[in-house]
Amino acid sequence: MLQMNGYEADWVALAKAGDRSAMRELYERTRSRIFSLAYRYAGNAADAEDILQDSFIKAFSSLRKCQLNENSYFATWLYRIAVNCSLDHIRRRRTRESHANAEWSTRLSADTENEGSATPEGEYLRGEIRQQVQRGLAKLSSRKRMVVVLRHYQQLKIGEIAAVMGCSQGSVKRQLFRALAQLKKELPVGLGE
Amino acid sequence: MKCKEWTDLVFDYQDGRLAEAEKAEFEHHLRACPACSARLGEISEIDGLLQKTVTPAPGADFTASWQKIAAALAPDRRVYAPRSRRAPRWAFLAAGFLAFFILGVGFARLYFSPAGTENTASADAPFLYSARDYFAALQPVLSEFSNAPAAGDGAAFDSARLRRLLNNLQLLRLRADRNRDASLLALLDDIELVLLEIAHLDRSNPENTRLVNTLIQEKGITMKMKVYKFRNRKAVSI
Repeated sequence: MLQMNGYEADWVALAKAGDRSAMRELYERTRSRIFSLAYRYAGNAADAEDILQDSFIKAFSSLRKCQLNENSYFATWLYRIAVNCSLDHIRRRRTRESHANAEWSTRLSADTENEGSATPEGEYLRGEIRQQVQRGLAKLSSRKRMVVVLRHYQQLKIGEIAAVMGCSQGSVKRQLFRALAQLKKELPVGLGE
Repeated sequence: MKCKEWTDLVFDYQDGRLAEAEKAEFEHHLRACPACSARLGEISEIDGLLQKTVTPAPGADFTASWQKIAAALAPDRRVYAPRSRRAPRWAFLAAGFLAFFILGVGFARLYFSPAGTENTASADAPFLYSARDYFAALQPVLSEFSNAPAAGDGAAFDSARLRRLLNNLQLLRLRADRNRDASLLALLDDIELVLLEIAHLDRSNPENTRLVNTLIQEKGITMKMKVYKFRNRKAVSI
């Protein structure tokens, strides 16, 4: 999932040497996934763009100093920076706004509902489920929510999530298990049927 | 298998990472233990709900974001910028010897090379010996093509120039084949494709020129040449 090809290894090497066009190439190749991660986590496009920019500025500023021997680790390393930027961003926002979680849910709902305004019956039901799930996700702690986002929206495997979050696979499994159990409690039984 | 172990294995089971024996044992336990079976059902149900709520992320102005990132980064450095730390004395001595050696080799090659085979790195040179020189000759041709007016500018690309580059490419290919340099072979294939497109281009229609430009962009030839030079920088500089 986070593998890169042979040429990207050279782009990483060039970017480490300070080559701006190689940085641009790496940005072009990874921006969508990082934006998607930030959007799923932050809940709105404006914050996601801020996180995207912070992540790449941090990554390219510290790339020269970091020890990246294998190209496949660049994506994992970038993901880790994006995860930390997302957590920091939300933490900062939470200090500014007392109802961050409630707002997260409202914003994501508004963003996603704008995508399909004319809703037939099936779409209406889907919208209801989506809102329930988003409310449930909003009640999770930051790290649990991040684990769920990485697992279910970014389709990362347990080992990759552990590498990105900087913890053991066992810890990821436990957090995911608890997050899903909490979500199960928050969501009405048989909602998906 | 105990129910406690089950928690450790359930996500590996979902990822398809269990060995056959482990998978069989896991499934056997599921059949025998209604509680664990129900828990897997619950997890699958939540998974299904989360999948149902996946909607594409909205678009973003990635170009504007890149401009902000680029502005926040330090000014562009040269790829092979010298280190700012003062080097020890022995390094100066070694550099002196090395420079003397390189100059000696350079003079010797110049003195003993046959007439008409100077390494001029130009598309008009009879033969370019190294991939690095070939790329140096090719780059201006590609830039010239990309910057040329959309139509009716056939004069800038005379067929003799393109033919020389194509002939040279075949010789480089033989050399790359002999050296088993797979990355250079792949790059030469891309370059050949682009040069042939330019050579056979019908310039009466501006759309054709645009398509070839798109091909050059898609193949990423400029970046690949840069990467190849970077990858082989040590071998080339000696």
